[in-house]
Order: sequence, then structure tokens, then C-alpha cells
Amino acid sequence: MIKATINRLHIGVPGLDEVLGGGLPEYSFNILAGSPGSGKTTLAHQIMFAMATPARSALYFTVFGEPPLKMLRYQQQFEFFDATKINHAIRFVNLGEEIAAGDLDKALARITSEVQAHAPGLVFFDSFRSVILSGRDADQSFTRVQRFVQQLGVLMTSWQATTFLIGDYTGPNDPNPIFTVADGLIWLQQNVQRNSVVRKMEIIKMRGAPTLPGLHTFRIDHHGVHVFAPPQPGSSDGSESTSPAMTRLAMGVPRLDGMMGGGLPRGYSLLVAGPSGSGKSILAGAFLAEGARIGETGVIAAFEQRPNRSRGPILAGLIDSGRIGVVDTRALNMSVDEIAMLLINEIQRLKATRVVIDSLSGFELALAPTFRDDYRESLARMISALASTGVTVLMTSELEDRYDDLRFSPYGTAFLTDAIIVQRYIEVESRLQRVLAVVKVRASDHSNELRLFSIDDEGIRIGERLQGYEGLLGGRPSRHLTA
Amino acid sequence: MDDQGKRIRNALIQLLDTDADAALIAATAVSIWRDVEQKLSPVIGRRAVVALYGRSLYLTRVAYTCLSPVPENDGENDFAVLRTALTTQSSAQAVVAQNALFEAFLQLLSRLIGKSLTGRLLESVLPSSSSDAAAQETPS
Repeated sequence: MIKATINRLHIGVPGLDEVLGGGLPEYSFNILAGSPGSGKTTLAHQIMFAMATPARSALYFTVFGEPPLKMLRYQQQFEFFDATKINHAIRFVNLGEEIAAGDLDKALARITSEVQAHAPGLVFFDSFRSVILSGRDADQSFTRVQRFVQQLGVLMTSWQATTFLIGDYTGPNDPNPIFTVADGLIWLQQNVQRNSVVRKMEIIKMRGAPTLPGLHTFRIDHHGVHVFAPPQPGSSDGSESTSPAMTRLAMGVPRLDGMMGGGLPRGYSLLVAGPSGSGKSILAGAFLAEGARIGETGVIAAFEQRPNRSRGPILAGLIDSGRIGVVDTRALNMSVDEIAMLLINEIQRLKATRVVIDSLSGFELALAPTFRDDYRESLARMISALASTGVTVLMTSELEDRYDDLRFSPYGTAFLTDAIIVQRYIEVESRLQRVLAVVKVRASDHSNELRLFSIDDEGIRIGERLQGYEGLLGGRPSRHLTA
Repeated sequence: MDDQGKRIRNALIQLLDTDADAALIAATAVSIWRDVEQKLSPVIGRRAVVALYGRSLYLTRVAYTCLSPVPENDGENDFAVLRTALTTQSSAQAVVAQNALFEAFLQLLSRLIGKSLTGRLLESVLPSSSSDAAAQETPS
């Protein structure tokens, strides 16, 4: 038996095809719903301008939603708005007069006539709620409205049109006739927490498509809507790096590779934890510079450095020459998925092998408050997604020095990483000195020494063990008295 | 958009060269407005076209007093008062007044939706040829 084939259309909105599970089913009858200001009309226009061609033209029925004059005025501020498509690939049809009369039969006749005249591949109704309300105003029953929606659905599918009904609805649990008839229900919302607003999208239903469940964040800027699909872990999870033949990366800091058992195994994630000013960013910079020296490319997501602040001449030069990509983390109220997507895009663009996130503390602050409750879960997902790309990741973490408590990361994120280096301050003979230790390198031998280190113009210089002292981690070592 | 405006204005000016009388100028003007309404109504709605026409009249009447009798809602009534007002002028005055009104309309629309989109929406607006307009508007 030959089954019906449902073609999937590329919807032309970054990230939305992934959330839809590979595109929008052709000839589907969809609802774009959400509260006022949630981005419905913008999303509809972006889909239309991206998908409409002379061979697959679009009809955009305007009803009593946003006045078309204003809609055209504002929508053309987006880059996707292409005036050359209007009246060729895209036609606007105002249904105001028919709907004002409140006669759904008359409205259906007009819609039918326009669809037959232009045979569009895409049809939009904005706002469809106005159509439904006009029917009710004219004392037409719920059943009549339901019948109208069904007739419309049959008409659109028969004429091979993929349809979008745009409307304000209070919630997906409304006893609304169109929710039953629709093949797809895409819900947009604005989540407000404290002073931050985050846009989220949910595919509540999409017949015939394996959509990604859950709420997906999206952003609207001058390019239009950008949906951030959650990073999908690939088949490779870096576990091959535990094999005896694991390759190791040089850290770019003399003597550190030796402490780590020969360098950082490729594909590992390394956490460098330490108090403010201890040299975490310098170590991260050395890691990237070492990669560049041997012809590798890298990516840095810096959450603490101000954009115009120097990152050091070597790193700045590598960034200028394009050997190291910088992920722009200055947007407000970011989500983990958005940052992960930015990182992965940059990794793929540069074919990068080394990635630095500096620091996790700044990363957390860049997140919208609504995501902070799920911080650990999201971070785990992002690290897993980064690992699946095969890159080696170095993350720094601000760690307050506590001399009565040995810890390596805030929020217990240390277990997520494959390797840990900790830096601390100690007081020796009325001087503040720095020490570092390799705490963990998964499936690898490594040093257990606390080594003194200093920072000068050349970077980090690792010294020897502090001989004759004990209690270093207590912050105030004392002379070890030999018997 | 500039080209459209210029083309349509020139079409009326060229009518003067053929010694067209004010009645023919008025009939051609009305045919232009009908075409504009036909092109724009599906996109922005008829009410919006009528409102823009009314605003253009308001802006033009100060300088062109012959348009004073034309009410803002004239667009709802097939531009009947505009036709009468232009018919009572000399041919040259009728052309100047209509062109000023049309220019105000184009500028207003361009300010709202941009020159590019205005040009796109009105690209096929053509004044009927003088003989067509005459035949249509003054049946024998």
C-alpha cells in the first residue's frame, strides 16, 4: 500500500524548522496564536515573505486586526519585508467589508472567490479571531462558527493551500472550534519575571510532525523572529576520548600539561575555578592562543570583559585576524539555548576545536531570571551539545575563597566537567601568593601537587611546590616542623 | 513612486495640449482616483483609501481654493464633488488642482508605508486615455 506523502516545507524562520521537527507539513491548517504583542503578525509575515514565490504565491487576508496601513508601515522595518513580492508573489486582500456585515457565508464566498482566482499555495488570515467574533456578534451559533471553520479548512486543503490563522486567544484550553479543526497550533507568549520579558513559543500540536516538545525561546530583532531550538546532543558524546589512544591538547602554559598527565584530552570540558583576579581568563586566553599557534581555530564567549576592553594583545590579534571567533553576549535576557546556538554556529563557521566560556558566573548573570532556576539542567544540556560537536571546552568559574571549605564551583556544576583546575590565594610571609592544582582529569593520571604560580607579561608561570609548609588550603600555611 | 506621480501628472498636462476642456480633465481625474481606490482597497481597505483621500484634500484645499467645496468623505461617493469642482475651473486650473491633490496623496501614503511600497502598489495606475474617459463619463 502506498501511503500519502506529507511534504515538509522549509518555513524560512531560523530555528523554527527544527522546533517543528523538520519543517511545516504541506497543506496544513495552522493557528498562530498568542496574546497581543507576542509577535504573531511578525511571524506570519516572515513566513510569508520567506516562502512565497510566483509559483507558490501567498494571499494575506486582513480583517479587523491591525489596520493594514499600519501593519505595512511597521512590518517593512524588518529585513525580510520585500516590497518587490507584493502584488506578484504576495497579495493582500482586505475582508473588512464582508466581515463588518457579520455574515460568515458572505465572507466564505469572498474567500473562495479569491482563492479560486489566485490559487495560492499559502493563505493567511489576520486576525482570524475577528472573523469568529463577527459571526458571534451576528448571533450565529457556536455550531455555525464551527461549520464555517470546517468549510474553510476543507476549502484550503482542497485548493492545496497551507493556511495560517492568526489570532489573539487567551489560552490553548479555550473551547474554541478552530483548535479542533486545526492541524497545527503554534502558541506565542511573553514570559514576564521581575523586570525581564522573554518570548517563548510552544508547538502545542502539529499533525504528522515530530515536533520538539516544550517552550522554546525566541527573539525578535530587525531580522525578524529567531527561534532557539534546544541544542541536540549528537551521536558523539566525547566518550571516545576515554580510549587509550586519546589525544591531548597543549594548554599553552608551561608545566601545566605535565600536571595534567600530558595535556587536556581532546573533547573534554575543563573547569578553571578561582577567586577574582587569580588568572582564570589569562589561562583561558593561553589555551586559545596555543590552539591558534598550531593552526586550530577557537571561539570565545566572554561574559565579563567589556567589548572595548583589551583581551591582551595576542588574543586581540587572533580575534582581529579571524582565527578566534567571539560570540556576542551583550543582548539582554538571553536563554541558555540562545547562547548554545550562538556558540555552535560560530564553532561550525570557524570549524573551531577549542571553546572558552569566560565565565560561568557572568553567563548566569546574562540569563534572564526565568532561566536561572533551571540553570544546572540547561548548563548540562549545553555542555553535552558542545561536547557532541567534538570541541574541547574550557570554562572559568568565579569562586570565592573559603578557607574552611574546599569546593570547586558554585551550584555543584563541577561534576558536569571532565577536568578541573583550581586556583587559590594563600598568605605566605605577609605576601599574597597564588597556587593552583589539578583536581581532576577524568580517566587520566594527573598531578596532585599544589604549585605556586605567578603572572607576568609572558602569562602564567608555574613554579614549584611550596616546600616546608602545610595547611595551604586553609589560606594561612604554617611551617612544617620536621622532627 | 516619483516616476508614478510624474507619469500621472504629465498625462493630465498632456491633455491640455489637446485642448481638452475642464469636463474631460475632471473625468480623467476621477478615473485616476477610481483606479487608485481599486488598487489600494484590497491591500489597505476601502476605508483607509477614503481616509487618506480626505486627509489629502484637507492638506491641499488651503492652496487650491477650488477644492474647498469637496468634502473629506467625497471618496465614499465616487468623487462626485471633486468632478463638479474641477469642471467649473479652467482646464489649466483643473489640472493644477488635481495634480496637487494627487501629489499630496502620494506623499502621505509614502510617509506611511514608504516610497518603494507606494510605487509598487500604484505601479499599474494609469489615467484612462482622454477619449476613453470622455466616452465613459459623458455618454452620448
